[in-house]
Amino acid sequence: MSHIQISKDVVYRELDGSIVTLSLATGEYVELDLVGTRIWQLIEQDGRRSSVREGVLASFDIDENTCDQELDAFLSTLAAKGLILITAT
Amino acid sequence: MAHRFQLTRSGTVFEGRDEAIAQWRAEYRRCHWVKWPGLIEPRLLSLLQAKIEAAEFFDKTNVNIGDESRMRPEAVSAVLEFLTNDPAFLEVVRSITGCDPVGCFRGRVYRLLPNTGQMSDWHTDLVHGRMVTLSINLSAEPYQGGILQFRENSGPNVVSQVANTGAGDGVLFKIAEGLEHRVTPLTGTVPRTAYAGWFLREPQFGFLLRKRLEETHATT
Repeated sequence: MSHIQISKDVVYRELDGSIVTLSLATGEYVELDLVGTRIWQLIEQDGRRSSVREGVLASFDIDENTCDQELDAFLSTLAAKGLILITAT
Repeated sequence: MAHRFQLTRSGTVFEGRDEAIAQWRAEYRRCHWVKWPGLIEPRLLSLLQAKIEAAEFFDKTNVNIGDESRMRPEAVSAVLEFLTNDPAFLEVVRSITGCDPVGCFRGRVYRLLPNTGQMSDWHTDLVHGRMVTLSINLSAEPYQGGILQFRENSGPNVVSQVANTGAGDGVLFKIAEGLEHRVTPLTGTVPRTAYAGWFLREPQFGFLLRKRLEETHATT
């Protein structure tokens, strides 16, 4: 089990349907694509990885294995950019 | 009814909008300004203040106005720009002031230091397409002096004034022909740090943000 939190020093908003983030730590802007934006919204709603995974499966036509792989890769990218924190629970 | 109006990391939060807007419109007409206590979400404000404390400032002379210490643009400036250009926030400014459209807000972080001669003397801001001014207090400690005052047609009397001393408070004020404002010199020992600038008709901030994203190719 893991829990995902949006970093406290990140500001964000929607621009033309996509989430755009800006980090106070780095000054870097990031625009999320359609899938990334949905995942961000799911994190905002409930940061449990299991809930985010369920939300992704419900939102996109994707099998469970691919979902797990792609979700983990995406979350790792966000964490590496300092946009989210992932903690084991 | 109590309202909450705050710039947060996920956008503008506004509860109790209709009543607040009516009240602010009346205040803006009567006093030339509107004050928003706690405009910046406290937790975000603390992070911004910590970054500002470590930032580099340089001396800047504003011709016919006075000297200030200005922060070199960095992530803090970008975040403040991001917050103050939230479409929901710009819409509130439009609703209060009647300026339409409000395309964007352009500001800078600056500091007035006590006992240095730094000040902001009487001026109108009526240049470069500026429509309305906003100043947000980012000072980490309460300062003394630094009162925002207004006078009309260079007359001898201050017709209105406001202290913007609460951390994270914002003051929105009018720009008009013959309406001058100044910030009185600081007394005491604490500097006044603010994010201040102007709402402009154009460009649209969405356009600026799109440009910044293209510059960084930052898509995930």
